[in-house]
Amino acid sequence: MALVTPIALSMNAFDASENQTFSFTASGGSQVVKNKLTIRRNSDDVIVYTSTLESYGFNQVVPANTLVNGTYYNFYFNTYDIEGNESADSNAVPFYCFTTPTLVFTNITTGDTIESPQYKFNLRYNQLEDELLNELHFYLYDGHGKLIKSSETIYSSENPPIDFEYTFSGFTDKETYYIEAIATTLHGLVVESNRIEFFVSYGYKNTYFLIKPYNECIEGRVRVETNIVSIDGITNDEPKYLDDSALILEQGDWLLWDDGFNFNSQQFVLTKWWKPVELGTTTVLYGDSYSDRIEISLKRYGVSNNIENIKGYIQVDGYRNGVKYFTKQSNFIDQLNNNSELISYININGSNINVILTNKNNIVNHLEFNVKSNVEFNRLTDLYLIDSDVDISIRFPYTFGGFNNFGTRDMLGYNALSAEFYNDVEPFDIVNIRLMRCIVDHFNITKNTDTQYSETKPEWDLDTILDCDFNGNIRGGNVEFTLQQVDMIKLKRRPYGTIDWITIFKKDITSIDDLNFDYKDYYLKSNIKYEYAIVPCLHGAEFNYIISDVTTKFNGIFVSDNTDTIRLIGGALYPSDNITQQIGILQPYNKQYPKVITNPNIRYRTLTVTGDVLTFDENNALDKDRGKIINERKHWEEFLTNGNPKIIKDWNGDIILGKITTPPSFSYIGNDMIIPVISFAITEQGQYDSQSDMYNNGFYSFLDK
Amino acid sequence: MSVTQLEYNVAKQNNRELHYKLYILNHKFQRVDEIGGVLLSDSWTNDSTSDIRRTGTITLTPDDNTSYRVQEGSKWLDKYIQVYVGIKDIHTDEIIYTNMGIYLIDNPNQVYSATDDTITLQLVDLMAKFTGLRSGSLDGYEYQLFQGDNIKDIIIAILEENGFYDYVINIDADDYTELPIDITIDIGATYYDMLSKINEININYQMYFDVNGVFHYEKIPSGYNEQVMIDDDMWQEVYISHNINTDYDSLKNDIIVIGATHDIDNYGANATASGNTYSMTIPSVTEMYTDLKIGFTTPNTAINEPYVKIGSFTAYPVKDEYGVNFVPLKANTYYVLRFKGTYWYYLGEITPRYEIKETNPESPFYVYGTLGEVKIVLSGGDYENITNEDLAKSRAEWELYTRCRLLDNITITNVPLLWADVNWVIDITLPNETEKRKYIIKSINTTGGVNGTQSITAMRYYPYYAN
Repeated sequence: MALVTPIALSMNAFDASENQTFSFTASGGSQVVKNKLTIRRNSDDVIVYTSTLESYGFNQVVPANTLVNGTYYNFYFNTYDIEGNESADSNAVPFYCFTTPTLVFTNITTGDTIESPQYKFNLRYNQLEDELLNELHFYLYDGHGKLIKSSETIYSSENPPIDFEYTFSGFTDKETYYIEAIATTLHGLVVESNRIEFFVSYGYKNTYFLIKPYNECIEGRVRVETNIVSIDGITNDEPKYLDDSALILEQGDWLLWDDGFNFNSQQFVLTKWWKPVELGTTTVLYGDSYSDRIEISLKRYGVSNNIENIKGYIQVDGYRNGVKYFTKQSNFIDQLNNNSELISYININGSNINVILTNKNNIVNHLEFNVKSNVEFNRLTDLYLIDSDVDISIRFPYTFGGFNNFGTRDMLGYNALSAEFYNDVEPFDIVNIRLMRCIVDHFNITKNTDTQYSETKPEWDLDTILDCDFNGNIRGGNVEFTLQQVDMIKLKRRPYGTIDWITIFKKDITSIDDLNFDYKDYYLKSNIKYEYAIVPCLHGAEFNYIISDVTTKFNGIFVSDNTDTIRLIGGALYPSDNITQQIGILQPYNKQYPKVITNPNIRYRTLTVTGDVLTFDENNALDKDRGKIINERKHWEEFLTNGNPKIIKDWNGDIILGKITTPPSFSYIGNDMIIPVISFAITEQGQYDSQSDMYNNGFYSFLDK
Repeated sequence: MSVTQLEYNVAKQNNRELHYKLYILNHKFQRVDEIGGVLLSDSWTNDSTSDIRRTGTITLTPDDNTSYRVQEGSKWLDKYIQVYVGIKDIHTDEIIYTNMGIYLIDNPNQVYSATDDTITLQLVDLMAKFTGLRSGSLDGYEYQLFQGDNIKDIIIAILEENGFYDYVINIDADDYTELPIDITIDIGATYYDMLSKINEININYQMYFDVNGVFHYEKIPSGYNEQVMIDDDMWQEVYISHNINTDYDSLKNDIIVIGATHDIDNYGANATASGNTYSMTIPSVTEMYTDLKIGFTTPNTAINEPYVKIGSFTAYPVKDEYGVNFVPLKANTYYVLRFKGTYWYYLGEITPRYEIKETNPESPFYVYGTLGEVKIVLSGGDYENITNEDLAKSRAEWELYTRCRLLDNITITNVPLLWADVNWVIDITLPNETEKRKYIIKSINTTGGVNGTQSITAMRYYPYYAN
């Protein structure tokens, strides 16, 4: 036997600073006991390396730094038998040497916490000799290292360095994830980024008040209501915060909310957690005209010769067309000063008005006011005050009977004075709220007048009109974005526990009214728990998801397209449900069994549907009116022949997206010719949970990538 | 050139699940996009005898997201397409893709109707960039390549001129590394014409683009111990049927190659012989300069190690193209020489001619055997590129190899081997035979899809005569 000519195996580019294995094959012929590797510079075939190795193996390792990065080489092998005979040269295989590229995440490091359900990962590819990139993928793993999502293939024709960004969304709160990217260069170098561990914590709240999905069984849909309130605050100057938890409104400062709410002047509850800055009006609620307003003022009562009885309180005054129509004062409190931490509670329910003021603080005042104040710093109301500092004009002659009766008003005001009404007036709409002369820690207005006084700060609910926690912001709404920060709202859906959302609805936002909508979602399965998310967007970028969930349960077989949905309930069934796949069978001569060849890309269902064409009255009872049934039959006929792709779903949780390929046919049950039975077939054309399939079949008018 | 173990393994599977990837490449062969959709049909040819070796046709239904639609035809023009066909590994579920090559897209066609939404793409390999099919035409001048030019350098220059930087140009030291002759490229020719003329210098070399877009200029397997690339281990799995054609019409065992007749401006008429020197007078030669070409007729004296002397100029030896070996000259023969500074380069007779016969008595086509002499005279056409006797000899040997040896022509129909390539040596024991025979694949036609088969046309393999 002689030595067969070896075949040198192809070689991707590699980094010459590392050892590299070169391989060949040689099948048949004499036993190979030695091989010689020759490496040449490809441009001129100058030999740069040759090495002979006594080995039965079919490879050789070239030591690191033997070759030079940025150079184009070729190599070939010769083999030798035991007698020292040399084979012919193998084929020559070209290859490049390149410095290992770098692939680095630039905006996240291991251990980082992401405070959002989605994150845009920034990545940089670089390579010393400008080796171009062929393709790139981002990979997302769960905390156990299981791959849960990958990007589509990303291409770039740019020269290095190249910056990429990719957004993964759908992160679950309080979960750990890993992110990784892998790139392949033009000449086959594969480079992997570090696998970065990160933690997601975005303080997921129950946001049912923002987005409420309702399962509607008979209609075969989920109705999604939103209750987004965005109220942007305006201040006369840059807002000043105290420890990022309270807004400082010194003398002359004010905060105004003037958009995003509208409530009845005679039906609301206002609660405010605050510190006083000076006596006077601290809150004004007013309508389109300032003549219609409700003022809340901090006042003090006392006389100079009786420091024991100097008290603080708030007074609420209502004005209509500039004329005061009621006054209501709170209980008195002691020790009103800059240390005071006040809670004021004003409940107006028609003619029932309750005003409570409490002081929760007796600790050292940590506020450093650099302003003149007529609330004495660290001075108690029961200390001596000069007359000019005390509003001695306040008297309660009508309801209270005079100074000496102060002792009968308990400190929580439950025995507070009745309101004084001067006129009967019509309520007006409050559309502006102005705060001043206070350091306000929390402010809340609800339309639920059953709300009792509480020292616990409230959270948003369906009755909330305005709420602001002043944690570094002056937003009065229930979302963390303002109208200026959103130009589109998306509604997304996914099965609970999965990560991929699809966008089912989009709405441009040009006014606060656009933030709320009522969406009916027909294109989903029965018996599945789904999550819905409202996603605020600005210039195409998505911000925090607002999520709620619902479990679906539909009754019947529902046929939907982008124009209509019709239900089959009586006699509804699938007489046939076939799957088509491309399969070929080839029979090699020497084989008992054939080669079976399949094309997995072509696989689809063809489903036949039948059911009674029924009509129902307003009570959902069967209505056998022949005229109505004929109209319904016509309805079905036109619906199924309008050419639009359809989604068929049923009570079992099955769903199919496709096109009607067997047009409807009708027959009748029995001899009375009342109830037609419809039959038609649909051929599958996509997946209901695929964004592109839904777009391509006309269910959604957008392709949200 | 090679097949991976995984590609080999999945080809043997009883179950094949086919997958496809169609990448769009830019002029640097970088991937810039992928054509989405369902591939409805595909067919591929790989013909070693064709200028454009690999061609293909694919028909697909594009998905609605693809930006590569025919109405935007200009998008295709500066792009390439690279096709991968994959088979799922039943043990790992990994899709093992085979690179089907990088192609130019020729005449894309789209059909859109109530029942169709298909794109059909005719694919031609990268050689089309040289043949004038897409580009490659020279710019309307006559081009000249000179004797002594480095063949590798010329090829690299042609490649780079056309934007190709990846290549393997592997010329054996025993073969021509420099042009032995001048080559003239006519007006209106293409770069491929230039490459083709170069390819004819080393007669058993091939020139092609591989599936990675790498240009190859290398020897066709023709030795005694070439690696068998496909043997019965695989044929047992995929062979369906075959047919054999024996081409008697092409059988020739006496080959005469006649090259181009030289134009001689400097003719020395009848030389005189004195010692080992032929002397002559050529009035038009007033100085000796490199590449001076002369013609003369030897007298009735043959000289084994001749010198040639013109007028009073120095006598120089007549040697081969390397200036190493003396070339003996016959008596009464018209020869052509070219001056190379220190020697006369022997270009041969005025019309290069070489005759060769099958003189191996073991051959069934032995020229003195029962078959007798079956002669063919080869001249004109490509043979006009033969301008010296050495080239005529090489060509005659090759012609004898192809016309006297490789006569059995087999076409095997098999379950497709996506990675099979032309000019591969294969071994097969045909079902009706007991002897294993070697063939060399000359062309492959593959039909894709679940019912697709492959036709491999191969010729009976013998090692090259000259080896």
